[in-house]
Amino acid sequence: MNVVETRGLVKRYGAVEALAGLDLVVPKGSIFGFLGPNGAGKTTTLRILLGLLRPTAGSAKVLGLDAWKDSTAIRARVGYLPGDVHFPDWMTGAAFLAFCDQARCGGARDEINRLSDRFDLNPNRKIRDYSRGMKQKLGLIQAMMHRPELLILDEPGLSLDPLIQQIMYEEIRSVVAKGRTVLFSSHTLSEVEQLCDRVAIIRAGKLIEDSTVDDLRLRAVRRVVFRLKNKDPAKVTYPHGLEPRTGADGVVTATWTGEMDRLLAWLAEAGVADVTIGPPDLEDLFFAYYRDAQNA
Amino acid sequence: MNAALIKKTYRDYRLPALGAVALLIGFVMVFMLAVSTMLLQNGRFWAGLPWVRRLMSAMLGADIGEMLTRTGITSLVFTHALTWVVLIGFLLTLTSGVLAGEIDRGTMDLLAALPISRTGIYTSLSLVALLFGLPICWAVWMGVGLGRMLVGWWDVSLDDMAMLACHLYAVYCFLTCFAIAVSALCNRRTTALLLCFAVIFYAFVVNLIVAFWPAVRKIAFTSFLHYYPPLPIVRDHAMRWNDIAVLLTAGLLCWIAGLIGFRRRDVPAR
Repeated sequence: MNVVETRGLVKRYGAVEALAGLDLVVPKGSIFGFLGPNGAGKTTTLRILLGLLRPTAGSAKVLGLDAWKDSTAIRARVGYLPGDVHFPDWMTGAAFLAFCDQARCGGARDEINRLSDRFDLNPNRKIRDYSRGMKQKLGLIQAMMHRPELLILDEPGLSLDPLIQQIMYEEIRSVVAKGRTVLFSSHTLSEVEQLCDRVAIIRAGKLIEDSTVDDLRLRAVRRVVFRLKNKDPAKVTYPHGLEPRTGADGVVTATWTGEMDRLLAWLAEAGVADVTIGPPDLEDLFFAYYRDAQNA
Repeated sequence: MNAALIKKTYRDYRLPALGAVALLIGFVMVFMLAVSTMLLQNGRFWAGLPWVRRLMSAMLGADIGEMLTRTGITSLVFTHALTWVVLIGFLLTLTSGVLAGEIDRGTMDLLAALPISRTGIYTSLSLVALLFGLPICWAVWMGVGLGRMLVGWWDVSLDDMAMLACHLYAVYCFLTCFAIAVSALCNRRTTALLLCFAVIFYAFVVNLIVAFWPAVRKIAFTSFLHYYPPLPIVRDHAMRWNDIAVLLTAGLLCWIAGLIGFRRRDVPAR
């Protein structure tokens, strides 16, 4: 079952087309990363899923329900952390969480206490006295406290220290282990690589990539350093996907994009004296997508 | 409607409401004290000045000369500038803060992410705003009650003042419904405030001009103050149900328009 499905989703603001026919599918029980450069349409998509924005055309379904017509029912089963979270700062954290709990018919007090301890947040202070990181923790708690079927997090790691980020990752994995789904948008590529099962990349309001992280790794660039036996590197024919730069003493530093089997086969045939192959670097791949957006 | 949202909004605005009530009671008592010692002695003098007489008739909805009594003079508190400032100040603070203000501050994202329908949000906030109007409008009546004890004006009719309080509440309901509709359709609190202020200012200007320039009388009906004439109410000892009906109907139409707009609109990111 798909937790989120959009078909031909379009959103226009006057002459500006924020989404230009987005087809997105988020499978149940996954941690789904949603990436894209600034202005690509990520936040617009998330807000449509929550019924905050009305689509211009196309359809959006969340948990099998229409995102606009059934938005109240959807929000009972979804937790949301906005990208730039703002709170009524005259309230205490505890009062705000209690309000959210009451608005959701109660029953989350134990979970609120557990998450407050886990994220090390003192909820009894006024929100205006919270730092940016503490507000982000409060936002995470309000999103997660009612154990939603779908968690939508927009930049969840913002302003969190590394320790709390790890705790957040553990909580996200624990949510998914219980059969629920997490959809999150992030610019922190290492976070995406570490957490996500699947990644979609949006650019100019359209989906340009939708793959598992493992598939992306196969296509990611690796750094390869090798020295050939008894051959002049300048006279060798390199396979497609290998971009070499010959350095001192005949050491070749190259980037490789493609299947490892093919590279290893070529290296064996070419005869190498020594080789070092680095781990796949998704950042270069993501930056390629972002760079193309800028150039466009 | 949502009980949690109603409780939260009540908690957020109860202190300003209490302040408004205290201010109005205090003002009315001071007014009656001042009037009892100064103005009444010179009332006929002031009422003899044509421009003062017209100004007061604009405020009271009839010629003060018709009822230069303690009850007539006391009815001024129901249309005094300070009463309007407190009443309108409170209702604009609340109505602009709860919808347009939430969008402006960015807190609407979390509110709208709760499982409360847009209708639920709109009706819950409207209910709180309307209920707060009861103690605020009746604070003027309470002030008169306490004031007449203070100055010994036992002939001031509390029944007549109660009728004025009911009419004042009808005006409050109209203004609240209008203001909350405007707030529901704006993204910025300042925009909502300016729009409401423009309409209210227009109403006061038209009401004033009508007293000095009879040719403008044909557009007097466009001002909500046209449906709130305190002096004829106390003079005739009768509620003006037609005026109340116009105010409440106009308010309801504004409220419904705001609800329809709020249900259909986008909630933009801050």
